[in-house]
Amino acid sequence: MNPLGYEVDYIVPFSTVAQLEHISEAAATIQICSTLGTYIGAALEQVYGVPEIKSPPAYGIAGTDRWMREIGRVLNRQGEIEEVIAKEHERVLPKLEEYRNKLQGKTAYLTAGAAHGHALIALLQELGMTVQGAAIFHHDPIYDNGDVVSDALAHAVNTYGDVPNYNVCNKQAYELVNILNKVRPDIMIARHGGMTMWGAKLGIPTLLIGDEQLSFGYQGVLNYAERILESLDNKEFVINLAKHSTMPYTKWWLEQDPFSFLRSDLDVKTY
Amino acid sequence: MSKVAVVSTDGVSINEHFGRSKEFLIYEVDEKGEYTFLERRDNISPNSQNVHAHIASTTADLLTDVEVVLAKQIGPGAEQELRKKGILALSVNSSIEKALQAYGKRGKFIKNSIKQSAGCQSSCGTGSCGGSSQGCK
Amino acid sequence: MLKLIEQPRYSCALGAQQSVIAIKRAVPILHSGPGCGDKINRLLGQGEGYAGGNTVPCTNASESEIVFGGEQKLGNVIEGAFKVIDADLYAVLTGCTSDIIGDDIGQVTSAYQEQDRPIVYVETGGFKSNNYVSHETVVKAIIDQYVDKFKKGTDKIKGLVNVFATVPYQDPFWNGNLEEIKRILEGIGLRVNILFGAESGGINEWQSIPQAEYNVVINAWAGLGIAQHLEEKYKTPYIHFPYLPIGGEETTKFLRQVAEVTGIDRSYTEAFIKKEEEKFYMHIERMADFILEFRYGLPRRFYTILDASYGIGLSKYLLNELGILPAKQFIIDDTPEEFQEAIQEQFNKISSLRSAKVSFNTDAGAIQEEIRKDDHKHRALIVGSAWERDLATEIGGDLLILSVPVAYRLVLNCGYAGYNGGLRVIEDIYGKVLDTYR
Repeated sequence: MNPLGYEVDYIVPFSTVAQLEHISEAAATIQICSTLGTYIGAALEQVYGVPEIKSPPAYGIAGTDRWMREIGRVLNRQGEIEEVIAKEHERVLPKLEEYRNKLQGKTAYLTAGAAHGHALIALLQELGMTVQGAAIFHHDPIYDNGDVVSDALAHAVNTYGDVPNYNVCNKQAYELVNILNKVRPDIMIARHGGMTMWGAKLGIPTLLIGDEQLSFGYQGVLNYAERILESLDNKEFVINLAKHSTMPYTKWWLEQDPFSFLRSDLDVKTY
Repeated sequence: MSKVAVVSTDGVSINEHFGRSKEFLIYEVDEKGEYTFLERRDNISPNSQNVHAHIASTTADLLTDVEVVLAKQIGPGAEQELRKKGILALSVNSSIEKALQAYGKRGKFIKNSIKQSAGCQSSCGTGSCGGSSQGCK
Repeated sequence: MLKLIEQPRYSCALGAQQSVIAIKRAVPILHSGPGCGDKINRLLGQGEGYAGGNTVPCTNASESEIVFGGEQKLGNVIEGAFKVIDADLYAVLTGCTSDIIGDDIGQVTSAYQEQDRPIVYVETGGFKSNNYVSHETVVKAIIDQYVDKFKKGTDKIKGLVNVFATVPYQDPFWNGNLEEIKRILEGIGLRVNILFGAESGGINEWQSIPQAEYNVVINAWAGLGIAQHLEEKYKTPYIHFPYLPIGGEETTKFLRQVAEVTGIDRSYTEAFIKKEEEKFYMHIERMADFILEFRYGLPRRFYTILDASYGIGLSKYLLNELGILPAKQFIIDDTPEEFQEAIQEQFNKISSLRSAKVSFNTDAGAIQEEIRKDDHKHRALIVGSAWERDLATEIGGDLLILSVPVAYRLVLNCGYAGYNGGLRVIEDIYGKVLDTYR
């Protein structure tokens, strides 16, 4: 934002009360987590008229392009934004090609929150990987701002194709292990701590992305790709762990359909 | 070739204390252990009133052309005075012949020690500086 | 050809004085210049112990002895030692000076051997070799001159094994390692002469060396000579495990090899292994989350600057069971050429998925330079000595001190061998890493 002459105030973690007093004077609100940040973004717009950047967070090349253009539109600096986009494309796209070559066809399974989950699906697909499934913790069909533009999942599916085995509200460990056992992806990517064990015990290289800033923007795509490659390379640990670890689930369970326990009175609709 | 001073009363064995020697027998020794007698050299007469160090220092002056002094015994003060002038002192209890043969053949192993001690002014005790356990870590 | 090396990680041949000190109630008698023993004790020693350090009798040979011979002085010192030091075994070791001038210490010492005194002599003039080699020389001398004379018998005792593992004191964790090795061999039903350290039975064990059914050599190369000598002398066959087994996988491999050769009850062995593995992997499971989820705050690659036995054993463990990738490995024990190929092979096959690069170099200064010049994109772990401390800070890496000089650690019975050793490795590495967080 600095080249455009704007100062960025990062809220709310680490903000002082004094900083928070000014937030209604901002030119725009950018939130990086559609799950948690949209409430305050929507409120600022509705109550104080601070425009909210509604496009989904900037993950992946296409996602970042769209996000940048939205900023350009809100701040009325489209021309300069286009220049930035062009420059970044020049820098990043060739490297992206290299990564695509290495990752082409590798399969991944993802578990994450809604906002990141959708964004990461898009990103993985951009890297040429096949997303074999995802367990997303929850789903907001409509965001707090009431705008359909923010629907990242729709965007991902529409742009990159459908994701099989997409499940909502699946931090149910027993279901997840069951799924992983059957799906056996090349890599499992977790966006929340405490879940990497389930992949690792099955001998699947597992990557925890704790830092959301890392995968943001154009450079973020490259960072992410590098981390995936590193995890894929580091197989000895998980192979050994799988050999010696204990599996608390019964053999019987692992043979069942993962959703056998969903109550039949609940609606499991496939979109 | 090395010049060696020997403290002896009878010209056969090294049998006298350095400080009490009346004279020094000077030999030239080669690396094969063969030696030739060069001369007798009088020591300054010991005067019981004088301080040992002073005598030792003056005696040392007598021997500056010599590499090593062999005596049956030598006091640490005298040894130091000799070292200051680049002269090594060794105490040994044997015949002159055996001692000279040994020195001729093996003196070369300690040649460096002699050169080094010439500059060694501090109280270095015996031999090399190894073994200072005063926490030199 | 004059070659200078910087930062050697071992001592001269006289360093084997520590091997004597490692035997309970044994004392070396040095026929060497003043200070040699002290210097060795500084690098390798861990305190005086029973009669080590400054208590070691020494002839303090200087110019006089060099020129006129030191045999008489040696005789005096030996007599004095007998009177003053209460020991079960006395070993006369020579330093450079004695070996250069050729004092006949054999003649001096044998006079006392004829009186049935427990005394041996070994020529260990510093320049002859390093202490990895002279350790063998000293042990063989004790066997030939003491054990052979005072042995309890040559009839074999079923299930008794002699263990020759890492070089005591050269390996700073020798006590802990020997403790664990003894524990696991006893665990599968063997009786163990561990020969050195707190868990040993002193010279009593040594006297029963000829009665062992097997000798077990746990070392890349240092100690093989001892086993071969015992095979010639007492017809005792030996088992060779060519590195220090660290962690679950390798320790199990080691125990199975020993069980196989000794013919000990297989089901008993497997039951022990099962119990140990269960314990071991339960702990691994507990920390796997940490390893996986903290990945970007933890070292991703490792350098080792160690001797061959540790280098191979630790590298295998770090990669296969902790998932840290090998960067470059360096072996600093001056490995004799005939053993280098086999060691290279171990690194070629370090895991089923990859090979590791290893080089043999006694110049640790040069090794540090090489590491310094590397690209340090990822956090690294250096496993070396206290002298690597600044290097680790420079490259933003972590240091685990496993080799001499140790300096920044106090070592009692911490060991890195076996099942328990593997767990210690984990705690020690990650304890250090976590300590760097703000």
